Amino acid sequence: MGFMIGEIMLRIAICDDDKELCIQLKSMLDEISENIGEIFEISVFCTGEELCDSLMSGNRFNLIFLDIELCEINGVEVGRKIREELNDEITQIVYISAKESYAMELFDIRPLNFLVKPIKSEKIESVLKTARKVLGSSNQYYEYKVGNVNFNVLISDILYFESNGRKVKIVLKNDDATEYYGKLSEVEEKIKNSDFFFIHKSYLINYNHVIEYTYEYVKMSNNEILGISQNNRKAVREKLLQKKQRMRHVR
Amino acid sequence: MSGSYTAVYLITNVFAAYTLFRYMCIFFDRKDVDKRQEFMSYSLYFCIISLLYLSLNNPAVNIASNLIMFFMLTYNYQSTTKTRLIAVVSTYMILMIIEVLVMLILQNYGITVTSGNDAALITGLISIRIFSYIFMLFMSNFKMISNDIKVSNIHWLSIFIIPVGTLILVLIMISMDYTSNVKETIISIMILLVINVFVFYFYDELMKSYESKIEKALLRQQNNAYLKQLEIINQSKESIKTFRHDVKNHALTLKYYIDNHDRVGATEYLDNIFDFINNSKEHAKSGNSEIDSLINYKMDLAEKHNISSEVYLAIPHKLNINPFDLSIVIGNLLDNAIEAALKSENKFINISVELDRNVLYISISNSYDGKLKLTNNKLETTKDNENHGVGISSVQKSIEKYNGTMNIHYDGQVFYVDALMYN
Repeated sequence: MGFMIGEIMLRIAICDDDKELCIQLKSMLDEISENIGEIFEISVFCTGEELCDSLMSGNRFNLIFLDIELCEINGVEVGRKIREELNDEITQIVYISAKESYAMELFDIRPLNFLVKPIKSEKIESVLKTARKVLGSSNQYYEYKVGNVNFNVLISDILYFESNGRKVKIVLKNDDATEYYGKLSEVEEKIKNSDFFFIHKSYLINYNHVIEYTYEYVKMSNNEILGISQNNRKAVREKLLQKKQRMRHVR
Repeated sequence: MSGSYTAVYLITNVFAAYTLFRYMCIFFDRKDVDKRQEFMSYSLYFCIISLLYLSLNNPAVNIASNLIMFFMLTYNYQSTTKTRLIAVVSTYMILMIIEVLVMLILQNYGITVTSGNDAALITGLISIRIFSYIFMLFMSNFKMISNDIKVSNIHWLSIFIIPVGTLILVLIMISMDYTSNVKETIISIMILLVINVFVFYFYDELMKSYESKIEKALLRQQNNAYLKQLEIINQSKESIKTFRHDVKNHALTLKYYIDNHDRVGATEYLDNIFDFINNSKEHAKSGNSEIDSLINYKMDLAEKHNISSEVYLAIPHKLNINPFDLSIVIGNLLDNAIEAALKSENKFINISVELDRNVLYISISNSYDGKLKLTNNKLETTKDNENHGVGISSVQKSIEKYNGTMNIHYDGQVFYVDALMYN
């Protein structure tokens, strides 16, 4: 098994002001790529500014290895740009640091993992595997019909589905939304994606677009707060634990 | 049986099913109950009992079907067989005594329920239901929920024998010809009821004493945890002392090299020190001092026993979860992991503690010798049963405080515990 997501090759960025480390990391990735016979598209950035410029000009990466202690714009700020300014929950960020202790604000960026220097090749390999799991469905589309016209939306752009009488409302990122006639149970059937689960009989949400979980409610990436119904709380909790377990077993 | 009697019977039986449900609430905790399934089961109970009564009306069948179905209803709730048995027998005994008493008292006033007279039957039925309900309200002052409490067999038997005995006595009394001494029968049955109420009182007290015993054990464990924490602090103080002493020696050696203009020697010496610093492995340095010191302490212990370990910590300096609760969870889980790994061939422990979107995930996996028992998601190892149980139950208590949950699974070589707590 390689690290391809569907048809797309994994686009990886490395951002560290330590050139030595960039070279080392790149050669590790090259080696892994050779071993598994897949090509990665790797871009190296020596400063936070360079990476930001690249992102601002529309470049996107599946996975970014990001140093926390960059001068000028540091790793936290770059992460915040990706999550908040670009509204991007899909790009996976792996923080690199010389220290093992992390500030609270790093956790707001929802990183995939933390790596401590010196970096070992096995760690990179397991991070790649986890990233691949997370990114698994990022290029799939959800298809729905309005009248006789078929519409498609990128599943990874969907925050949640809401049942609204006889209609299903699809809430998307960037404050976008759309509506069509249908049932949530059909959506669940059709989407067949373990990232989506019910928190309420009329809310089917995307795990990856939640920025805060509590037992009683979730906060979505558009800062909207959705309640978890009494009946679903235990199931949601179980789901979270299972998802985490599955990720860990990849490691 | 007339139509009006059947109608009244059905209506009052709904009420009776509800009363039964309330009796069950005295004995069982409804926290983890599937409400819909619970409702369905009581409805089913109502249907079957009504059907059996209206079609057969055989006393033996009524008693047997009631007892069996009471017992089945208890499976709505999580509990032990001992508690189930006490609940079933006591509830049935109470309902039966009330039924008999009401019948006898009415008979004493000239209303013979068994005469087949519709009015008498309906009066009897309604008064039985009402008295059962009132008595239940009185009984609900006792909370005899004992989910986690292990009652010793002899304690249980001495409680259990009383409602069972009462039930049999009452059955004997009403199967004999009591028409000549109704009053005496009423008094005897009343006395039995009073005795049973006092037994319930004792059962309640017994449960409380068991509970306080468990709490004391828990407290003792927490004290131990504090002691260990103190030990860790003392140890690190000790190592700082050694370090200070070492720095002095290193500085002296360096000064010696410099004084002799031996640059190569000085560099070599410094390289050695760097090697030493890089090699001295600290297992946890997340900056969260409580968790770091706990994991370092436990993993040092593991290392001394040749258990290899891997630690992944992705947590901030401070968590909202009380450090004390967290150290109960992690400390106890690590104790169990070390204990199990010790007995295995290829000894290892992996720990991961990770905060992701406000949820703290704790995952510990360790090697074990493949021998363990798991009942009801509760661990039972061979060693020191009581203490061990307290360890796991205090972990569960601390996790529950944060609405969390814990999963245990194993595959013959590796034992996994995954827990989640909302921060």
